[in-house]
Amino acid sequence: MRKFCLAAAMMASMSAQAAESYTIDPFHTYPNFEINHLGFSTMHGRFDKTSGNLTIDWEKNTASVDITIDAASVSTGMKKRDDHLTSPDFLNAAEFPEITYKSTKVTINKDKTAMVEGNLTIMGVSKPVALKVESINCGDHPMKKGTYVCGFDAEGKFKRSDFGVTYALPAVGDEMKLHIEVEATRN
Amino acid sequence: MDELFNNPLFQSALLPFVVSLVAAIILRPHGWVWAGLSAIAGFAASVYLLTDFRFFPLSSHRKILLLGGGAVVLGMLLDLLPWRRITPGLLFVTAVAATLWVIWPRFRAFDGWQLWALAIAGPAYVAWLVVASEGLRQKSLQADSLVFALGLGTGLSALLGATALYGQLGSAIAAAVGARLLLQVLGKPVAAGSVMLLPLVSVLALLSLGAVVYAKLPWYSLVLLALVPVMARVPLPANVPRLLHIVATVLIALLPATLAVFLTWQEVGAPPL
Repeated sequence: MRKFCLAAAMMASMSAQAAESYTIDPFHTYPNFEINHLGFSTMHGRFDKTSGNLTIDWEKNTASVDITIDAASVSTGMKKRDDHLTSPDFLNAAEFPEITYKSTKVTINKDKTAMVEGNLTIMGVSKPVALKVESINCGDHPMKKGTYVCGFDAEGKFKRSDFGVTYALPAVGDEMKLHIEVEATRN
Repeated sequence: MDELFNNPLFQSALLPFVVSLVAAIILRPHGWVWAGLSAIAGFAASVYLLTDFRFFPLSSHRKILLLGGGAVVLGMLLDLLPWRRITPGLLFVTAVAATLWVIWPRFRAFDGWQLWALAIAGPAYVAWLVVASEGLRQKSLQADSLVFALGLGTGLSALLGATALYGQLGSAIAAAVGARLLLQVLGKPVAAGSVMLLPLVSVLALLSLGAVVYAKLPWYSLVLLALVPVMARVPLPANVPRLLHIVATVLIALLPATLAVFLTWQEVGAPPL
């Protein structure tokens, strides 16, 4: 009986170790977006402030992601346009300061690619948005001794009208492409 | 057709003007209470194109439009019932409560004197405009001039202050009341009443305050817009020809509104397109 308990405790401990928790590095995690501008070109922008956590369970090949984006940190290289994007016409950052993404299901494939299903919340409206992860790369940080880092790039797309962001439709595109570069340090 | 419906000039100028004009011609013979709804109809048509009458998520502009809808009912009651003695007090309390509801989410972003300034000056601005304009309910020219000037001032200032939606909503009200002013020029004035003044002035007051609180409209634009009801009351000599009387009343009301637009433009420049 004592051996069984010991084995069970060891297994539980190993399982807990297999699910690693990480804190997102805000200096190397940036959600970028693309949107069609008046049918002429594709405008790019990004959010400068992001925080969050992720867990990765290598044994079960699954994970969870929880990202919070500061809506007021949108940056397109032009302050006046950024002010417009944070106004009630678009993100209404004063009333809805956070954009969040919470995963509901993550499947990690053998080739380190992954499929993330989750809910994106913009202006208080939550809708399912899937993200495709190209490659999860983990290892010791070459310049920070003792720091273990995982990083990946994720891509997805959604319609802004689904979240009630309808201003200037259809002149300014409805479909937004999302590209998130993520780095996180193991806790 | 979609291209036309999505054109900002059609949405916030041509459509509200035409709908208001047609409604005014239909409602004018019905007089008091009903005639004032003409401008509301014009504005409502614009709101439909701009928002699809969607009220979720309940953001500030949707709250403002909902309050505008409630103000139509309250305005109609004020026109129908003999509540004149309690009207200023009722409007003051209602305006303060409505304003607090709209700007409440912003309170968490401020503290100290800024919080108090927002909590006191914001409701005071809206309550002042609502109560001060109510006195013009029986004077259709002054009422139309007031709402036209306030609509144009709010619309253009908000557009420059980086919230085009607020700008379009304000401009739509100016266009809707512009149709009534055209009928004034043609010698067919349309009664205003609380049913027109209360909702339209409430919406404009909350939109301009919202443009300060939620976008980049400079606060001092509100000080100038608050002068519009005063200017709309400036008496003109009785022997002035009718057309000149109308033009002068509108232009005097437009003075502070134009200055507000100019100062906003000086502060923030042209809108991003």
